[in-house]
Amino acid sequence: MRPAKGKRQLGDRKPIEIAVIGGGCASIAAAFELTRPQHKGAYHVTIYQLGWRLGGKGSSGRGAAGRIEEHGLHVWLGCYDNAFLLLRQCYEELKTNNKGRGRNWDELFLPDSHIAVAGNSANGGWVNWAAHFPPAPGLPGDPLDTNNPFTLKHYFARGVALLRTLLLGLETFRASGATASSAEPEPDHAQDQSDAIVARVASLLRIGALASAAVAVEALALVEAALKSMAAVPENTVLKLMEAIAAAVRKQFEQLVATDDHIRYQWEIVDLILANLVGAIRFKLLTDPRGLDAINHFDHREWLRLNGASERAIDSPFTRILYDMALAYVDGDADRPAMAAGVALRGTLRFFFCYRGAPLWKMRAGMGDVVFAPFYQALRRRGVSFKFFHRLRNVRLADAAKLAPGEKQYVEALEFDVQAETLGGRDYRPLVEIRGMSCWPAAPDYRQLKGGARMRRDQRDFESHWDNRKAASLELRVMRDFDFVVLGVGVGALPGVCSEIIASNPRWRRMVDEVQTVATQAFQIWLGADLQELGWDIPPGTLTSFVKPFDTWADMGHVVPAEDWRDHPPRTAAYFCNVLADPPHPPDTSDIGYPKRRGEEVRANAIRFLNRDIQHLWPKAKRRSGEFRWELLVDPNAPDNRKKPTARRSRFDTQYWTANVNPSDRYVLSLPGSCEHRISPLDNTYDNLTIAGDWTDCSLNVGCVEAAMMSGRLAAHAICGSPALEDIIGYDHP
Amino acid sequence: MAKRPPTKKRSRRKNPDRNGPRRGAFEHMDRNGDGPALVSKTVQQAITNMVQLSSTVIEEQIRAGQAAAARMRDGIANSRQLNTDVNLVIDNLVATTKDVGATWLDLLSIMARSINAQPSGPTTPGGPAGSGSSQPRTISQTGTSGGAATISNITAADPAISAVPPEIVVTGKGVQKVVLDLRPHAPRFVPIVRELLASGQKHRLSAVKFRLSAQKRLVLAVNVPRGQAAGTYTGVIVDSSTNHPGGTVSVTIGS
Repeated sequence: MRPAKGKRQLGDRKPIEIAVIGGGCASIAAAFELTRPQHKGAYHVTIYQLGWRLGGKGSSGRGAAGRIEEHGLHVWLGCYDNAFLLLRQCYEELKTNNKGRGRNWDELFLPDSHIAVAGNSANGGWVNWAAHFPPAPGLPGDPLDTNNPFTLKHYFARGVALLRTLLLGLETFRASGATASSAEPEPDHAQDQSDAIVARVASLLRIGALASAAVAVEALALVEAALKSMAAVPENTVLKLMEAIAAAVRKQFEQLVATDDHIRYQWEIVDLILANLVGAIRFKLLTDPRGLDAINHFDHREWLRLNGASERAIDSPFTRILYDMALAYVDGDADRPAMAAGVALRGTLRFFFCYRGAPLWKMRAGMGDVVFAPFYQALRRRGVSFKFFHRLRNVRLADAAKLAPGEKQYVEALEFDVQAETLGGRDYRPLVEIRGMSCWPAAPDYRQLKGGARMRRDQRDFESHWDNRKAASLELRVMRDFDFVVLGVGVGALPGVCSEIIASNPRWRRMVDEVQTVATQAFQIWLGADLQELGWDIPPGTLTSFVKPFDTWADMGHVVPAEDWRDHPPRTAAYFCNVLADPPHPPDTSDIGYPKRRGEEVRANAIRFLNRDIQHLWPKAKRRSGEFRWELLVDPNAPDNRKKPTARRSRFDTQYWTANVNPSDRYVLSLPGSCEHRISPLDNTYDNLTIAGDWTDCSLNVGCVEAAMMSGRLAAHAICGSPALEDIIGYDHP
Repeated sequence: MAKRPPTKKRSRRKNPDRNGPRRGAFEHMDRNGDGPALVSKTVQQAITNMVQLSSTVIEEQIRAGQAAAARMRDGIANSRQLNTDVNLVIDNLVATTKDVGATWLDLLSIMARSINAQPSGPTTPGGPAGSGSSQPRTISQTGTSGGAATISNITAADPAISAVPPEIVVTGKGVQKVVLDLRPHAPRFVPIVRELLASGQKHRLSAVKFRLSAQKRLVLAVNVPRGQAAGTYTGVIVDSSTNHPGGTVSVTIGS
């Protein structure tokens, strides 16, 4: 798509040049804000991106059979208001510019209300709990004046609805253990339905679940009243009140807790809620000007324990879900979970209470296709320039000795490796069309590159930190090539590219030391059977808190139609992801084989997982011998299975897996005590530099798309004062 | 990229108005429309608000229990297997939700003691706040009246309150059972019964009232008019002067 003409200059004034480094969510958000029509072309943005595709940790590509190959599992939450706001505006703009043609954003997102967690059964083995979360009014990204999820009334209304869902609507089920070859007679559904109703009612009465649930619900209403009276009632009195409520409710439940999995979860959920409520008052979170940040020096579990949660609740899958969703394991070690308590509580509030529509929103294609391709097209049309195959090497500061009196330090130059040059110096055209959708390919288009054929033979890995081959070097200088810099690389990459800043600035040094990251691993399989045939009997959704190394599974069968399987598409697709432990010693910067070795490790992990663990979720996916039914996997190069598919584990090699070990791809953690060391994009220590990413102090302060988008909006504000901070949704939040 | 001639003056960022988010919770509530009007100004108002809220809560949860029971009944009625045992199960479900109302009243008494800053022992994390007073005792009396089984319970929050279960007098046809659960919180407790509802809000029964007998004893008079629909009718008892909830009553009418 050609950029629109005449957008670069504002009268006779040349636009201010912004160099945006990195093409992930934060950088894209910053670019989108800086180039809004209201600025009338005052800013010209150039995005510098290593490799051939935008996206950063959110990138995806299209491989064989057009199948989607993601960096990891990318599910958007219904509370991602900033991310959805910008994305919806992007889609609207594209349609407007295309005379109303084009897809609506909601055609490409699938609301998902089913969340499941896995846990150890009291009777041995695994048991799963699944809930259908009730829809919330509105859609994510809706204006707040029509539907504000941040009011106390909304929080409590959602709290009641959530309690009802969790306590009355959670289903407990266990893998049946049926083998693939067993054939069971069809049940008499009508007879079973009435029996099931009677049995359910009798069960509820026997265990008093309804009574207990209602007590918990009413206790919540009482808390609402207590909170509203906070100004008049001494705080320690309210604390005593809360502790009394907690004791009364706990007494209700303790009598019921037994070895029954079905009621055990109710107690764990209520226990966690009570501990959070007691803790909120004991730690004066409502009156502390720091809000939930006041408890960020505690680990989340530690804080729950301090506030009376039982060990059972602390170890329950309902606690683990927060850690697993945030990949909160130091060095990727499953035995070292760690998450700042304030971040955890804020995330819980946002996730459970502030979602609109559904709690989860899955994309109907890759994140690159649904998010970054439209943003690329919209930004191009606005006049943004894109420089692919540019890897940042160094951010050089001005000589401090030459600063004028009172002048702040600033970025003097940006040094790049140009990884590849295009033929004729033309702009690289990064997108391909698959089934009518603009997508990012899984590999660069070598035909556009000088020496592309050789690069393909040499197996150049443009996204690898350890592949340092380049075609040229480039130096950009302040006032000549740029005026401002938005540094949107991942925090893991900062030591390599900001050594000067880190050496001279103690705050930056503390930030890179304390704000830690973790590598991740993921794999995707495409299957010739659907979930029911695999033995998963409840509505498909997303499950977490399962076994390491792949504790999170998402059913992604809905993306198969967007792929290009031709005659024999798979029946479903499944994505798995988790943390990946670091090796004892970090690799040398020239160890070009490191990513491949880690990839082999992920492959082995995936095979072991499919052989040993998946049967707890998909009992019909294993043979009598216990081994995974490898013939279920669909080969993209031979999908019609004319030959009988091999039943050997080598068939896994036709699937997709990834070890995300590049420093910029590592997932940021929110460790206890680390958030205070984050630096905000608003920080003006270097007066022509701002930073953007989910690793910055962006208020949400947890690794996710929403935090990155908020950070990008903050970076734009830092440069041009827009958007107003009050318009960054959820920025001002306890 | 074509290099532009260097600009003459280096562009610099302005200092932002602030460097971080506003985290105060009450500020957040104000910003998002939970203004000061919703926050109690005095202790008395706080108690009043809580009392009003609690009355609504009890009624709402009883209605919710009734609605759930009605749905359950409808579901089973359409199935091939329907028997009296199922109806009994559903009735017990409704009774259970009413029992929750009693639990709510327990919580209210805890709240009242806490708000009035009663002396209490040291608290442990998650442990109960010491109350310093003995637990209220429930006194029950069963009987029959007008062909209906009657159960009259009284649980006085204060030992100074005379804990004599009120008599229940039933007139009208078809009444199977009447259960009264009275929980006076103060000696000067003058109860009135709010309208009883059944099947969500489809059926109403208002002829249930307290009166004093010739012997100046409290009596619950249940007068069921002809043609009253079958069902279990439940409602809240409140103090007529303060609107403070003080119990529940249920009347089961057979078909």
